[in-house]
Parts: sequence; structure tokens; C-alpha cells
Amino acid sequence: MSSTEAKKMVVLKSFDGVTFEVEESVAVQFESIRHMFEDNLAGSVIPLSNIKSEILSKVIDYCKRHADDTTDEEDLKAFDADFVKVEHGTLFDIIRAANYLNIKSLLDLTCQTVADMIKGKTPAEIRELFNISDEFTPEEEEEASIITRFIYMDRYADC
Amino acid sequence: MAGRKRKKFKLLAETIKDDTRASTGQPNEQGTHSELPTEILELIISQLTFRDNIRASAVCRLWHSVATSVRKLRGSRLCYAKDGWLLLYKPGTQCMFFYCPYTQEKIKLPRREFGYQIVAFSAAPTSPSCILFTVKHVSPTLVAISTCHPGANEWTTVNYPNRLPFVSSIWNKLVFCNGLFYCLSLTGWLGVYNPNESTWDVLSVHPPRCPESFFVKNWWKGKFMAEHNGDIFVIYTCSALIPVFDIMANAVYLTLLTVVDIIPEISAMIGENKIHTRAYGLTPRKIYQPFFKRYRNRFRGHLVSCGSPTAS
Repeated sequence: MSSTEAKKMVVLKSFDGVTFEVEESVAVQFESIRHMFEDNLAGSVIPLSNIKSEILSKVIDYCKRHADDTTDEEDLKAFDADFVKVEHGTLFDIIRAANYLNIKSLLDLTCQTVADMIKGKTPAEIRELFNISDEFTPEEEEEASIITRFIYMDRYADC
Repeated sequence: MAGRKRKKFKLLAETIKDDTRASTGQPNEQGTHSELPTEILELIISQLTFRDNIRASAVCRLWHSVATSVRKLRGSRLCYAKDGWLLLYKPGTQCMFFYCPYTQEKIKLPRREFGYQIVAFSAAPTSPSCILFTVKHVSPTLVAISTCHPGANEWTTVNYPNRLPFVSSIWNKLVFCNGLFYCLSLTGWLGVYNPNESTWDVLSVHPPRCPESFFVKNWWKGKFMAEHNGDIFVIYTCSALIPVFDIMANAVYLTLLTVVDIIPEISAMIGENKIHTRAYGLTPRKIYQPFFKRYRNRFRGHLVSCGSPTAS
């Protein structure tokens, strides 16, 4: 009956070869790989070939916290707020990992964070923020509409 | 095509400085590590307001396609735009309403079946002078003119005698200018409705000579009418030159500009209804695509400025 005995462990391996031992109760949040350890592959290592260890450890951290029933909601909110205070590259890596592992709450949290960054910004500011190249070549027909869009957006930006 | 486009885009994180990534290396399967998958971009952009969505759609082409695909008000047809307000119509529910994309304010109008009938309005719906106008064919000598204003319970319809050769049809063009609604028929004749005096008249001004026949294929495409600084311009884009017909001056002159000049220039002239249509992506792109296509293909590179109109 002791809790340690009841806990099944799952071993995850990041693409750079670091292994993480995670309680199954935490790992069940990884929807997309759930079947792998539920199919009684206990003990075998589940390779996550496109998540690097740095990101995987963050994701596991998040899931641990969210699997812990004893954490109260306020603390969890504070944790979430803190969790997304990372540089953009890391945030995008977490988003991709959350997407790959299909962790809905984490995906929602991180996508909302990016959406909040975009809010109220002009296209130029968004491009700068995320370092996106606009790729409007003069030859492309699409350009006409984009230019037009710009003109009219700027025109109404102050209204 | 999709692949080619995809490759061209330098997406989100690709160029973000990330030292740890550089030192640890990064899985590099099909380069996908450097992009947010489209479905994630959809998730993010679908969190945005209409206004932010519009802005996001001008970031790059991928963002544009994602933003328009998740935008609300899909299924609404844009009828007219003026003073920062859009007039939208949902054919499914026969619901017509004003929408300000920036304040998100929405003002409903009485339900009515419009089909593709043209509708215009005179001023922002918040203004007491705002009036909506539409004209419909009844018989060769009769048109039905319907008007409405924000807050009204229903549209008011009155039949007016119509002077040929003005023919009312859904292909007509409509603008409000200097207190009057100008309705350009397919054949180029101009009907004028005065909302203050409730009069309908057909101007005895001969239509401009369209360089291409009325009967050519796609004759209904590539003709635009717009109000611009108190003037009305009719722009035919179906020929090698762009004749701009200044109705006020009753004269046809040719405006030849370089393509670079002409894009914003003609955009302004074509008027907000068309521009906003493209800007907000509310109607199927294919309707307006031919215009730019033909225009770009034909005019690129061989037009230079000339013929500024004699003062009107």
C-alpha cells in the first residue's frame, strides 16, 4: 500500500540522449505517447527524438506541478505565469514539444502567451518581435494586396 | 506550390538568437524545428481579436493565410465601407450589419434578402445622417429604391420611374459622394439618388467609351467606381490603358502611371469597398484576383506617367 511502491515509472529520453525518469501519473499528461507506456512497456525507454533535454525537463516540471493535487490554484497560476517567462526561442520549443506530446493545457498556456505578445502590435512590430522576414517580393501578385492592406491598415490604425 | 511557399517563409523562431540551441545542436528533421507548425499558428492567431487578426494577416503570407482562415465573420460579404465602418451581409441569415473592425462595435439592421444586390451608405452609422441605399430592377422603366437607417425597423421601398438606357442590375457600381448616391449601370449610364429630396434621375451624360466592347467575355469584370476627394472615378482595367472617367468633369482622361505608382494610387481610387474586401479577406479571393492579375500582367513595365487631367 505504500505510495512509492505503487508508483510506476516511465523513462523518457531526449534527442540529445538525456534520460528522465517520470512517474506515470505525470507522464499520462503526454497524450501522444501515453499508449507506449500504457501498453505495458514498463522499463523500456521512450525516445523523444525531437525534444531537447533542456525543454523536456521544463515540460516535465510543468506536468509534475499540474499533476500535483496539493498545489492550490493560485500557486498554479503563479507558476504558469513564471513558467512562460522565457525567451522566445525557448517558448517556441516548449510549444512544439507541447504540441508533439499533445499536452493541451500547456499548449493553451503557451499559445495564449504568444497571442498576448502579438496583441496591439503592427505587422512590422510583430515581424521584428519574432524576427520574421516579410518576403514580399515585387514579382509576387500577392504583394499588391499586401501593400494595399498596409496602406489601409495604417490609415485606420488611429481610429 | 505549398511546399515552395513554405520554403520561402522564414518562420518565427528560425532566426531567433538562441545560444543554447547552437551549442547543443537541434534536431533537424526537414527543418521543422525552425517553424511553428501551421496548426499552432492557427491556435495562436485564433486567440486574437478581429483587429489584431487583420494586423497579423499582414505579417507575411503564411500568417495571412492562417489569419484569414481563423477569422471570425467568415461567411459575411462586404457590401460597402466608409468612415472606418464596414457594411456586411450574411446571406445565410439575411442579416445585414455595420461593423467597426477596430472597436468591434456592431450595429444591426433590419433583416432583408439582398442576394448580390448592391448597397451603400452615406456616413458612419453613428452619425444621424447615415442612410443606406439600394436599387433594384422592377421593369425596364421602373426601379425600386430601398432606404434604411440605423435603428429603423424595416427598409422603406419606393418605386421610381426609370429613364432608359439606365439598366439596374447586380453588376452595377454604387458610391456615395457629395450627398448623392451614384449608381453606374453596366452600360455606363449613371443613375443618381438624392436621399434628401427622395429623387431618382438618370444623368444625360454619355458613358465613357470603354476601350473594350461591352460584349467581350468577362465584360463585367474590371470596372470600378470610387469616390475620391469629392470626385467619382470610374476605372476600367480591361484594357491596356486605364481610362479613368471623371464623372464630375464629364471627361475621360487616361491615367498612366508606373506599376509602382499605380498600386497605391489605383487602390485609393478603386475605393474602400474593394480595398477592404481584399484587406479583410471576407469574400472569396477569386472574385478580385483577376483584376490584379490582369492588371499586373498587362501593365508591368511599359507605362509611364502622363495625362494628368485638366482641372475638373
